[in-house]
Amino acid sequence: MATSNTYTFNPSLGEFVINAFSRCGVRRTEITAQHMEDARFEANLLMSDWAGDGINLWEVTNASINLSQGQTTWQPQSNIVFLLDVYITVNAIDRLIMPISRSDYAAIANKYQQGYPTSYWFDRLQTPTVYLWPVPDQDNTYTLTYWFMRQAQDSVLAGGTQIDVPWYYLDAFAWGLAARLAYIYAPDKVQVLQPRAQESWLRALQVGSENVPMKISPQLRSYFR
Amino acid sequence: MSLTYTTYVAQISNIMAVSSATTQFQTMLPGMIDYAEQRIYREIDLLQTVIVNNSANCTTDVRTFSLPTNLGTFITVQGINIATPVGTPIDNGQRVILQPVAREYIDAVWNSNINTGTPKVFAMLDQFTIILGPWPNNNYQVEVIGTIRPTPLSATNTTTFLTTYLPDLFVAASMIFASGYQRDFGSQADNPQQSASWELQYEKLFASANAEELRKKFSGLGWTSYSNMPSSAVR
Repeated sequence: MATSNTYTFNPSLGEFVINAFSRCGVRRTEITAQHMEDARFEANLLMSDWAGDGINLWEVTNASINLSQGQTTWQPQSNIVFLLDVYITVNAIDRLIMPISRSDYAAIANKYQQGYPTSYWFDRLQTPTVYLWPVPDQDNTYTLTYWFMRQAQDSVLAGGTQIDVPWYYLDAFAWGLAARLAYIYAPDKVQVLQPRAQESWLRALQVGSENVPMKISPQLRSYFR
Repeated sequence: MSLTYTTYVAQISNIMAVSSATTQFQTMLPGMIDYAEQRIYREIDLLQTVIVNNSANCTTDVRTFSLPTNLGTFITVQGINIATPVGTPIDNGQRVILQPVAREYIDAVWNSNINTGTPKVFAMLDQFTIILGPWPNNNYQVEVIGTIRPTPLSATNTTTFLTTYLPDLFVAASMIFASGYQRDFGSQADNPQQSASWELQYEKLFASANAEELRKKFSGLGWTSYSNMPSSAVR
C-alpha cells in the first residue's frame, strides 16, 4: 500500500476562504474584494466565538512573575481570555492559590494584609487585573506562575498565512466559516451549513480536551453573583 | 465528403447560383469564410482547437505571465500547470495544477512578493496575461492548455478541420452569410426565406455536431463517448 507518509496538510486562510465559498456555491473565479474582506472578518469572528465555548487547549500557555512585598495587583497579558491555574513558588515548592469572586474580595476587611498569598480575584477589565490576597510579605521570595488561555492569533489573508488552529479542528473551521459566509452570500444554504458546522465543532471538541478522569467534590460555602 | 478550398468555393457558387469568378463573389468570399469559421469556433468547443504550449517560463519575483503565442493566440485558457522542481522538463518533473481564481483573491492573499513560492493559483489579468499566486520563487516552466483560432481556410491553407470533418455545417454557416450577400434577408428580396432556411439548417447541423463534440469529451448525455444510452431503471 502506497501512502503519502507526509503530514503537511495545513491550508492557508485563503484556501479556507475558497473552500468556504465553494460550500456556499460561490465559484473561486467569482470572488471579489468584498468577498475576501467579509471572509477575513468572519474568520476572526469565528475564532472569537470559539473562545467563548470552552478551553481551546492549543491556546493555553503560562507565564511567571516575581512578586514584591505588598504588591496587591498584577496585570496578565492583554490577550488573556481565561485564567486557568495559578500557583505560587517559594523555595522550589509550588502551592496552588484559589480564585475568589468580586464579592469575596470586597468582603475582605483588610485587603493589604501581608502573608503567603492564597487567593486571587481576576478582574476582567479591558486591561485585565488580578488582585492577590494576602499580599506578599517580606518573609519569602514569591514567584507567581499562571496558566491561561490566550486569544487566538489574528486570521490574516496576506502572505498565504495559516490559521491558529490545530489539524483536528480544520474541518470545524471550514464548516464554521462556510456557515458564517452563507448568512451573507447564500442564505438558502444556512439551514444546511449551520447544523453541519455545529456538528463538526462538537466533534472537534472531543479531540480538543484533556483525556483524564474528572473528579467532582462538593464545597459547602456561600455563593455570590 | 470533405472539402478543400477549391471544392468549397465551387459548392458555394453552385448553391448560390452565382459564378465564383465574379469580382463581387471574390470580395465576399473571405468574409463568408470568416463568418462561418468564427461562428462555429465560438459556438462549438472543438477539441481540435485545443493546444498545449509549454514553451515559456515564468520569472522569479514577477507575478505576471504572458501567454505564449508561438503556436497561436490563446482565446480561452483551460488550464495551467507548473513544472517542479525548477529546471526539470515538465514531463520529467511534477506537474503542479494551478487553480483558477479571481484576481481579487490573489491581490488579497498574495499581495506582495515578500512571500514567494511555487505558484498554486492563477487569474486572468487580460486576454494575454495571467497573474500567479504566490509570486514565483523560480523561473518555472509553465504549461498552458487552451483554445486557439486555427488558421483560416484560404487558397494557401486549403483544408481545415471544418472542411474535413464538418463540411455540411461549414457550408450551412457560409450560406447564412451568402444569403445576406444576395440580399435575401427581407420581404422585398427575391427569396426572403433563404437566410432563415439556412439558419434553421445550420442549427440542426450544429446540434448534431455539438453532441458529437461533447461525446469526444466524455461529456455527452450518456456520460461516455458513446451515443446516448438508455438509462437503467435501477441505479
